[in-house]
This record gives sequence, structure tokens and C-alpha cells, in this order.
Amino acid sequence: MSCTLSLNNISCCLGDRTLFRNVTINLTHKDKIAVLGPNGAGKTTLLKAIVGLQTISTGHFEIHHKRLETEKDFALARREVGFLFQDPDDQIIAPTVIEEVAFGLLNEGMKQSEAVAKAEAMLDELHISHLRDRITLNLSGGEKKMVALASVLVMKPAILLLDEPSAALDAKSENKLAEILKGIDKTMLIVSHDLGFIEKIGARKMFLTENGLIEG
Amino acid sequence: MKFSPPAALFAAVIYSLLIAFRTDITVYDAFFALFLILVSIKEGLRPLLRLLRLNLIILFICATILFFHNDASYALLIFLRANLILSANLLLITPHGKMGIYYGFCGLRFPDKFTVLLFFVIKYIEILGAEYKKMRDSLKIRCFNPKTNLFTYKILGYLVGMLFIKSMEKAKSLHHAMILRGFKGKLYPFNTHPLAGSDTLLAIVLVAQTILTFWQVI
Ligand SMILES: Nc1ncnc2c1ncn2[C@@H]1O[C@H](COP(=O)(O)OP(=O)(O)OP(=O)(O)O)[C@@H](O)[C@H]1O
Ligand SMILES: [Mg+2]
Repeated sequence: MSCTLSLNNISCCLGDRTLFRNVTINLTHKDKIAVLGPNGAGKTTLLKAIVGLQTISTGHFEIHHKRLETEKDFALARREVGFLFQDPDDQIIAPTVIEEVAFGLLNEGMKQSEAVAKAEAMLDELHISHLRDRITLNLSGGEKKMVALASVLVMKPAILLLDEPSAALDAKSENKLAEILKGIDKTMLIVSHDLGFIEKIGARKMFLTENGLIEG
Repeated sequence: MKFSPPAALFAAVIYSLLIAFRTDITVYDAFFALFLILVSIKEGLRPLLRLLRLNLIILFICATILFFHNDASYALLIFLRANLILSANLLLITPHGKMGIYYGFCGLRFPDKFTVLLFFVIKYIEILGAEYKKMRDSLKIRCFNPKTNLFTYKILGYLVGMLFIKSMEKAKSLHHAMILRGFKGKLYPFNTHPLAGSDTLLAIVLVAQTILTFWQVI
């Protein structure tokens, strides 16, 4: 079995408080895991740790069997990872929607016309083409979430880390998103409180507790 | 040893004034600063690490004086003065965290108009720092690495622009939140820390320093 993402014995302490310890899980390219847990359990912290935005106390991560240790390893690993922040405001940097979605592609050195075409296709797939030229700061909460998602999905990452993707979405957008995520054969860690949404994606449920990830 | 914020702030101001008006610095002038270093050893001298960084600027100023005015003793005086004042301020105020100065002024019974303004200034600097960090994380996660090309400049432009707009948005929502909660220009700080026993010691040492300094002048 080839693992795309492994978490080995991860524990995280903030100050003198232990958020979680012994988090161990191996994910293959088909695994979709929903991470559940009460507010403040450390779900966001765990996701951030995987991409090196949060330091951990013990353990290590592997992506495609490569152990991540230095900031350089993490920087390379981030190319494989699509990360959706819990708060889309933290993520959006460009002034208009189309620029925001095309940013990652242009950043990789893609030609502008090509990048814009791909971004437009992505907007279309998520049914948000009408937002193309809107100012990102003026979008509604749910619209921002969809735009942030589009800019993550357009990169076609091998691993998706999604922090509450369905929060703030209306029923129609939520269904659409569930359908899309279900159709993607990629490694996914999805933090969500929405059991219905998780069912629709067909993700395996796991609970983050102080003593690790528990199947549930 | 930790002093209460008002006492620390008061002592920092008095000591800074004493040193700022000295025309030649002697060992006696360092008495108060050395006392602070001694009593802070247990908590660690982390605040002084910042002094090292600040010294880059101080040394730059001293170097300009040395080169353009050719006055080594004046350069040395400025170097010593700045370091004494900064070390005392850092050791007194940083242990109370970002809001230390605010609690200090509250404890010294400064008018609400002033302390409330100060509170929002500090809070706002914190918000801006957090916003900046979030955007940096966002760029990091999307593998942005700055080069010297137009694309990079454009993105950095976005960054500055968004920081500016976001700060206005934050100000607006903060304002709205205050309106909704019936803000009347007054805050109710809890952690003002009443004067403690250690403050008596601080006062004694400060008086000793004042006497030492004036004794040298006479
Ligand atoms: N930078 C930080 N400094 C100190 N504590 C932090 C920091 N970041 C997070 N925490 C704390 O760590 C805990 C876990 O935070 P985290 O955001 O991971 O929770 P979560 O499981 O995502 O919760 P939610 O479901 O509300 O999003 C919280 O109690 C939070 O207060
Ligand atoms: Mg969270």
C-alpha cells in the first residue's frame, strides 16, 4: 500500500497544555478522512502542523514517503498540498476573484492566458462564474468560502487539507461541493462538524481526542 | 522580580529623564539598570535580546556622529545613554506583556480619554500584526517565493493594499462592535495589579539612584 500522507506519533503542546498526543495515521491516495472533535480540540492546529505552519512537540510527517524535517522539506511538500483555511479571509490575497483563483497557477510560472482559462473552468465547475470580476473583499461569507475553495482545487493538489469547507455554505452550494469532493480521488483530511456533509462525501469518520485519533 | 505596571512605568520615566540629561555617564548612573538586571535574572533576560537588535540602530547613529562630527566622546555618550535607558525600559515594561504600558497608565490614574486611546492603539498594532502573519501564512501555503520580477511586485503590492483595506475593515467592525455594546468612552480593566511589596524596593533603589546622580552633578 503506498501512502501519500503519514502522521507518525504526532503530539502538540501549547505552553504547558497538551492539545493531543500519539496521533498516528497513514493515508493512501484514496483515503478520505473526516476529522471530528469539539471546539478547541486542536483540529486546525493539526492541519497547520502538517504543512509546517505550527511546530509540533514530538513525531514527524511523511509525504510520499519523504520525511518532513526542515522548513525546506515543508516548502516542497506544500506544492503537493491544497489547504483551505477555516476563515477564508485569512486566505484571500488578490483584489478580484479571477486573480485570486489564478494566483497559484501564475505563481507556478504558467502563462497568463492559460492560467485564466483554467481559473475560469474551475469557477464554472463550482457554479460561481458570476463572481469572476467581483472584488474579493466585498463577497459574502459563503461566496468567499467558495472562492477560496476554487483557488485550492484549481491547483489539483495530491493531498487536500480542508478546514470546515462546508461552514457558511447554503444547502445548494454544500451539495455541489460534496459532490465534487466525492468525485476527487485524492487524499483528503476534512475537518467538519457537519455529519450530513461527511456522509455525502463518503469520508471515514475519526475523532481527535487528547490521546490521538480514534475511529468512530 | 516583577513590579506592578504603574510603579514600573513611573520608575522607567524617572530613570530615563535622569539619564537623558546627564552630560557624562559614570558607573554610578548604571546603578539602577544593574539592579534591574540582577533582579530579572531569575525570570531570564530575554527582554535584553531585543536590546541587541536595537543596538544596530544605536550603533548606526553613533557611527554617523563619529564619521561626520569626529566626536568620539559624544558618540560614546549617546551609546551609553541609549543602552541604559532602553535596558531599564525593557526590563521594567516587557514582563507585563503588550498591555503593560496601558495598565501602567491606568494605575497612574491617567484620564480615560488617554488610556482608552492607548488601549486601542496597542490592540490595533496587535491586530495588524496578526493580519500580516495570516497573509504571510497564506502566501507560504501557496508556495509563493519572492523573486525580482513583475509578478512578485504585484503580489507584494496586493499584500500592502490588502493590509491597508483589512485594517480599515477591522476598524469599522471594531467600531460597530463598540456601538452595539453601548461603549461610552470608558473601559474597565481588571488586571491593573495593585502596588506590591517589590514596588517599595523599586522606589528605594530609584531614590538612591536619584541621589547618586545629583550628588555627581554637585
Ligand atoms: N497561537 C496559539 N497560542 C495559544 N493557543 C492557541 C494558539 N492557537 C490555538 N490555540 C489554542 O489551541 C486550541 C486548539 O485550537 P484549534 O484552532 O486547533 O481548535 P479546533 O479544534 O480547530 O477548534 P474549532 O472547532 O473551534 O475550529 C484552542 O484552545 C486554542 O485556544
Ligand atoms: Mg478549527
